[in-house]
Amino acid sequence: MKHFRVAAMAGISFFALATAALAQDYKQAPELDALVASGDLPAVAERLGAEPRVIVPVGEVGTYGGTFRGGMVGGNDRNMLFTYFGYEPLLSWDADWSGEVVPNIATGYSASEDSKSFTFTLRDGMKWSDGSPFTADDVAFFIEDILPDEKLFPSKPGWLTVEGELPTISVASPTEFTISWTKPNGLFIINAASVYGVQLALLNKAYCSQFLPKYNENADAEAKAAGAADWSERMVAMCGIGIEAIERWRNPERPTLEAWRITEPYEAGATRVAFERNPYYWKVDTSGNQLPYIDDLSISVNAEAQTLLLSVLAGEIDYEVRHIANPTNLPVLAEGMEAGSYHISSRESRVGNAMTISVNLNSQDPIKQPIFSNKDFRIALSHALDRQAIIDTLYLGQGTAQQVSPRQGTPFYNEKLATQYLAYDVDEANRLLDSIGLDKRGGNGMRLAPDGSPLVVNVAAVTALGAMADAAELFVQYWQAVGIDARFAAMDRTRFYEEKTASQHDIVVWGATSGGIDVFIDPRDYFPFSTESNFAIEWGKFYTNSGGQEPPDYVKEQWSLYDQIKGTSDPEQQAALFQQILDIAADQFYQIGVSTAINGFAVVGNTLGNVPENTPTGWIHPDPGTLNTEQFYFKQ
Amino acid sequence: MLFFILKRIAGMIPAMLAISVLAFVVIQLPPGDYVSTYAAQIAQSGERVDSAVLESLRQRYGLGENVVVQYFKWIGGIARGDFGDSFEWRQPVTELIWGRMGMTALISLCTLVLMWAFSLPIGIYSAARQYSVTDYLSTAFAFLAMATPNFLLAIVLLYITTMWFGVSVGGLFSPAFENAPWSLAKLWDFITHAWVPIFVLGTAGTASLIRIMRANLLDELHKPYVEAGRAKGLPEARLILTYPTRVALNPFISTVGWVLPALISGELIVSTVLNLPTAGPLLLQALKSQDMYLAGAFILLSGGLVLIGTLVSDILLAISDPRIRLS
Repeated sequence: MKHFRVAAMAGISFFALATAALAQDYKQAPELDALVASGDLPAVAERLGAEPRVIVPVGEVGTYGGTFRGGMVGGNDRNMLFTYFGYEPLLSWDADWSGEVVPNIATGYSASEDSKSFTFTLRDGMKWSDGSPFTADDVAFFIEDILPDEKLFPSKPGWLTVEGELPTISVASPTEFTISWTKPNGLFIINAASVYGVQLALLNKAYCSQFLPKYNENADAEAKAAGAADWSERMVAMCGIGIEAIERWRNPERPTLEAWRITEPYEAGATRVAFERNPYYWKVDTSGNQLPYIDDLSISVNAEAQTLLLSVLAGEIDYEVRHIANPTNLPVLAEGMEAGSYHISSRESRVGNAMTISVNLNSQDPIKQPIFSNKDFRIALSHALDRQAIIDTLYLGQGTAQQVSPRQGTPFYNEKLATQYLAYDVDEANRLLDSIGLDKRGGNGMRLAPDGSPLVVNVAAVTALGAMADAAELFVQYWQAVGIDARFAAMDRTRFYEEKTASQHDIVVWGATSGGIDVFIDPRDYFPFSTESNFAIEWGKFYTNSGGQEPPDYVKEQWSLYDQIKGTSDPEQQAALFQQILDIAADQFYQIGVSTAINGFAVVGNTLGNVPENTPTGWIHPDPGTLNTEQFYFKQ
Repeated sequence: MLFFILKRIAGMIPAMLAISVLAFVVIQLPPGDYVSTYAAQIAQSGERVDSAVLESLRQRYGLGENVVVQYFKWIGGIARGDFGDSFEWRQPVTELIWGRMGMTALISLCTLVLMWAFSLPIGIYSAARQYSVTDYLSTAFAFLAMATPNFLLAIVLLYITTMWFGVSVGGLFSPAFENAPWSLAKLWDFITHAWVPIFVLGTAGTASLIRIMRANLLDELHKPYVEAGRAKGLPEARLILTYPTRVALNPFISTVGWVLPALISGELIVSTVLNLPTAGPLLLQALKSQDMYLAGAFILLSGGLVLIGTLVSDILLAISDPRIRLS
């Protein structure tokens, strides 16, 4: 017996079907009219298929034309292209990121009661950018031929495996397939709607199978003739395979489902990357106009973020949210708004805190380890901070004092976790420190470790991330005021990572990660989940089976609760289980927070239309990809 | 003469090897490797990567191996013309560098020629007319230009054009020509863009060459052989150009050896500021992300250019000054 979760989507799906009846009314970009007239391109209704996705424009129905100008920095900024133009998952989240899943490539899905299998329905007649049909076989190609291959996919994505087991797929018809495991994978749908879900419909079987020996016995010889070491290298170079692979933006021949297809690739020494419209794009607006509105994309590859900033100030960029959209540049960007003909659009950060202060519970120093593990030590550090003063200094008063916790207003908010030990109380901090055996003081007035040796606590932050380093310097002063000999260690990014991955740090200041529906995908701040759980990296390693130390029972309890979350696909039950995880996190007080997340912003050209304000953003709900860049247009 | 050149070239081989060792050591010096830099980079933008992925990357790139083994693999590949793969671009280094190095060579050469074209006559003139108004003007310009770091000049130029004229002068081509094949229109587009970096790169060099030329010539002008020539009634212009100028050129030519590398290293900062598609920004980016084979190839080639520059200046000196013994 299956229980269906398509009800929420039904409205949208029916709407798509309703417009499909009016197929003759579909309109297309003027530049495509000529191609259709000359017979080089099929008619628009034929290209769109029977049930294109209908996008409700953010502001108004747009007009066709124009070239979008963007900018990236350096040779490894491929995720700029991904987050702007490459977000086409099977399902997607609603624009408000409330956790509601809406149709995208798939029109709907159903999950089995035990969360072991998931059946998806695809759009009838949907096509790749070369006009070939997109069917369930393309998804099966990835699941059966690419994912299990050790050469092509040496490390399997965590969300596609359950305890190491890969999924199987059965194709019922060209528009219906079922992905299943022998054990439950209750977080599969949430992941499939995130950036990760793009992976499932990335590869065109007809094109990409020619590079596989399974489908083409000459594949290896052809690869070598083309200068590659073997067929797998050629396959990666031509098809990209991974969602974050730079090769995804290399091959103009590779068919895609995205709104624009690449014409000038992102490759060796490129100074510009260009795209043209995908004439087979499978989305229309509410008036039946085939999307995208914008004809071409022209993305400059800059040597340095500062040159990109200059381009923005000169009005040569239509939308920029990476590299330069940070508080440091805000004054100069605000000043140049009129001259550069752009405005600043707020973007809501949905992470659990403005930053996390992680005391290393797995410290390898035999004297520090028991001190750091003592919860009272961390409580004292928390009480020693004057959060309001810090917020006023660093964030100009934006933000409210809060510990690291999911956001208020989400089903995951945990009041105890969010609000405990927030008060600025120096006396209490001193009392707690005295009570845990740190009552002896050295010649410099700083507290000594219980064995009488000086207790120096290094507080590391990355200098390149200005706000973190500024904050760390402030924290150090507050802690010195209660007698902790804290010292600020400014670090280069790489060294910071090396030290913390090896658990050699005392305290690190870093960003928080998840605070909404994404807590299920990356709960690193709430229990030892990976080597990114900075408060207990050794336990994180243990969890991911890469060595580390065995943790105490309360951590294992959290892990078992997380397994139970994966075992169900009922959102309410998942939220309730997550609250139990958070209760333990609150009892343990793993990390110290400062303030609710501080909003970011995007720079938007004044002529660019249909760009919403105050939208939520994050890596797994990327901006502007989730804003549907295909419905951006240039105002006349 | 041929023997002299061959001997010089033979001497370059150990020097080149020393440069390669040095380049490799320098690249290995910072903590971590490409993979840890990469992990830190993507974590900063809130993205995630499995530690299993990192481990497989490290294996793929052979980063876990002994440094000495890595060096010999690298240098062995270069001997066969294979500079390795760029980790960041996931492409062979050779594909990346030739276009960029070509652009660097083009810009550097244009700058060098223009520097000489301006500094030689100005230097000669201001020496011949010492303490005249023109001499004071050229001296004032020379001191100012020498004291201004060229990257600052680039920033000021960028600021003025962006803030006052609303155009950014970065890059070497307009977007329309960036990936287009060479044509007359593209050449013109290049010229309209290239004057900025050439001006920025050449200003300080021109100034210092004016000073060198002026000082050299002043040393010669008061020597007895000039007086003798003048007493014999040689026309002033012909006298100066034929005798003291030739002698004064000597130190000028020996500067070729360092002008070339100075141009290229100065080019690194200027190109990054001006966003030029030359070797500089790519090298800087490769160093920042510890993309070691790419960075190594650039450092090696720059080192090679220094050697070639020295060789050229040696040969030119031998030709221009018969007093220099070829042995």
